[in-house]
Amino acid sequence: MSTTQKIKNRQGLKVAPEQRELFAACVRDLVGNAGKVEVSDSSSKGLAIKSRHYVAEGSKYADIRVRLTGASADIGIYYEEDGSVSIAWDSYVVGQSKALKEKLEGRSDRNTFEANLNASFVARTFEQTALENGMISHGIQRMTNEGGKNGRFEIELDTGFGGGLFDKKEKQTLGTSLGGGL
Amino acid sequence: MGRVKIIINENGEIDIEAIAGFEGKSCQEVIDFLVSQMPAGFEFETLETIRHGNFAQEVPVPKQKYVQEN
Repeated sequence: MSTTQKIKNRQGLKVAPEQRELFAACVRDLVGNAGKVEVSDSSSKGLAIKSRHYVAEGSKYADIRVRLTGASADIGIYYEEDGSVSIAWDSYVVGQSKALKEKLEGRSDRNTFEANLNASFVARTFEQTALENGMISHGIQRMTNEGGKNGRFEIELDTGFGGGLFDKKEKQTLGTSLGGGL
Repeated sequence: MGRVKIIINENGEIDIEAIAGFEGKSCQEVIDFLVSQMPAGFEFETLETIRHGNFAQEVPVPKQKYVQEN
């Protein structure tokens, strides 16, 4: 019998505790109408995930639980102590999601989901950092790349700067005296 | 007002483009500032080769660019 168990994010993404809310928002955005996203209260042991298979010890309770529409198993997302993120994914069940395929250029595999989650998180972090520094965001958009096989996240920021305002040095001015002494 | 576009693809490659309103190297200064304000754990190479340090990609060095358009 197969076992469902979490596997560390293959791209090495790490999420600090203070960034978890932002990361959860990325999961919600990515899943969108393709399913339901639940986030565990940090004080609880997590959300029990359901799988067709035996769920490995240590993978039973996820920090974020995703149930794609029409699936009979959950995606479990876990924060590890070192900040890395793991995902438990029953590819047979989860990978059949039509709604997810529509969002991700016909793909619904774990790698694609993970890669898009990572990219979304980086985009959101850029946006949040910009907002905290007085910049204006025009929002994050996921676009399909040329060729229609994969996608990217784009964000436009009005920075409020443009004329070298970070250079605080005062301009040198000529004095009124041309010197010459006595 | 200077506007930048940040593009992040599925491989974790990041392009930052200045798309309007910058003079001289001011765009570079703004991007430098933004990158310096990112949370701990985000590390970037030099300005011209910005990449997300949290990605431990085992792939060839990705396309990285920094352009400034008038």
